[in-house]
Amino acid sequence: METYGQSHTPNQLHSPPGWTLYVSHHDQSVHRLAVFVHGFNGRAVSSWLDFQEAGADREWWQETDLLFIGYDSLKENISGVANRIRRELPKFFPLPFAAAMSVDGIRARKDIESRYDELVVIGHSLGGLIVRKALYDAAMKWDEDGRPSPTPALLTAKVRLFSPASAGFQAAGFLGSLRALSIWQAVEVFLRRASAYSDLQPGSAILTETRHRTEMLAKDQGFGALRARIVWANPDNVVIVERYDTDFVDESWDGTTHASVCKPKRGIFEKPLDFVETGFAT
Amino acid sequence: MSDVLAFRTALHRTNVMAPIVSALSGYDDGVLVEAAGLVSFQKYGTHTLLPQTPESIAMPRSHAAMILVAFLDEMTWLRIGESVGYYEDMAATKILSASLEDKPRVAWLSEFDQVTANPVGNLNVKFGAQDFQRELALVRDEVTPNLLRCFRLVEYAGAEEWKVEFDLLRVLEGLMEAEHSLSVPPSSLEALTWGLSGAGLLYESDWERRVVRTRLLRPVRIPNERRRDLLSLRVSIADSATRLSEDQGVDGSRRIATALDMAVRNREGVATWAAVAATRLTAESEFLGGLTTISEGLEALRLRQRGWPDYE
Repeated sequence: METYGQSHTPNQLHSPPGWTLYVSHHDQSVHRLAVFVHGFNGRAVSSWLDFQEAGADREWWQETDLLFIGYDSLKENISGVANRIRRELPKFFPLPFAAAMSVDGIRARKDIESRYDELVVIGHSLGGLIVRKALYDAAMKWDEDGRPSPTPALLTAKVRLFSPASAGFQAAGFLGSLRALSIWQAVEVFLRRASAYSDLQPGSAILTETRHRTEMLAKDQGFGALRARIVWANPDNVVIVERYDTDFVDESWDGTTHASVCKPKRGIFEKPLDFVETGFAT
Repeated sequence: MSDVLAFRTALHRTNVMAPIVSALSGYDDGVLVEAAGLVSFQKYGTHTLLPQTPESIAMPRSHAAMILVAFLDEMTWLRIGESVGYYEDMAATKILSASLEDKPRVAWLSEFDQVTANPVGNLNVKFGAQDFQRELALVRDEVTPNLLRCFRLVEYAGAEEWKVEFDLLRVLEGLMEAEHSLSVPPSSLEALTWGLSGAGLLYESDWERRVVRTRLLRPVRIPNERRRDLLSLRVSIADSATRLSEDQGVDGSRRIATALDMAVRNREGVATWAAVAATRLTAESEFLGGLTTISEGLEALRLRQRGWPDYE
């Protein structure tokens, strides 16, 4: 079987800036796209490196192109990032992003044209909230447009969230952001009263609005993607542990922290891999 | 599998090396000569002299120096990558010659790379393609514009530019001390983040544990005045940060909780660096002044390479 170092190659994209596509070299069948959205203080790729490494020997991961969404959690607001995902994702799914699949006529794998048949969207912490916002906006827009065919890619996704910040910071004020960020990042976020600071204060407008709209839409047929599958860290001292009424029943993993809950280790802690693959956290 | 390696090699050439070479070829020869001198000194720790040079250095020189650093670092990554089977054999040579093919003005980069080649670091026998990809991914993520700006200011900026930027940071520290619910417009804060989150990796000990040590990743063993001044100011800012609150009447227990959180998070980074800095202040070297051509610079470097200690 292929080794991890040979199974995928990262292609840092010029556009959208900060996004990286890990292109699979698997020659049998690459039929899935997994999209990763990091959280506070996260980085596009390094926040999720453990998934690539722990999953290297699993066929599921070899048959998957991995798209890592980069954004600046200290500056950008939640709506801006969510809207970008909603706007750009159709370039990556269901057809593979052609510009990343070959260079100088050299192809990443034999088949770079076939459609993917599955989209999995994974979010951690603030990334979970961003995913939720992108999902409900996609649903509302599609509904406004009279639900034309085909269904927007996001609304076909299987959604997995690790300790999402859907209910905001556990501690209020500067202390709350300090627990989620490094000291220097927390200082910056506080001084500029950035989205990551103000929007994540419990009861903020965006938290309330996201919950209300998601719960309203998720009951509708065709919007099943809005029902998230969630696993929480236990203990989690960064975000409030609270799911929406329309989410699937959630799970918690004892002995994990807000950061480590999405850090699988091959042979030691593979539950995050299973959760992403199947949606089941037990 | 050979197609995979060819794909990666081609990808590096088009996405990384070609833009670097193209950017460098856009500078005047004079600027490049000075920049090459700055970058060469840095390897040997002569950057300790930079704050002592009285002249005002034009900004293009420091920007060109940063691109040269990127060039040398990418050549290092390529060499390691080809040795562990991540890129094609001879990838570094092939990519460099292909990138320089239509850029005769910067053909000297090939020789510059050989003379000032980066240290590979403490690679052990188990380091393979998987480890390489991980290390490279970390670097691609962590070398942010803020970090690069900080690095440029600390290592290569002229005295005048450094003073202006550092004084701005000092103003922020004073305001934070005076006003605990201070807020700063995003556009203004943007000018200061190089010294806050941007400077973090310069002082964090994790930086020293990296397997591959390029110029940007090398351990901070030879601090200069700027690094010391910046560290001192950051300690003051961190102290002021314990009192940050939107609520003017924040109670004592909240402040203590904040201070404790910060102390726990901060202990390793600041303490480790300070200890290292205190013991490594003896670097001595000299400034290669008066060079007018690239070839003079390269020759001077060859001569000095033999006699200079390698602080890497």
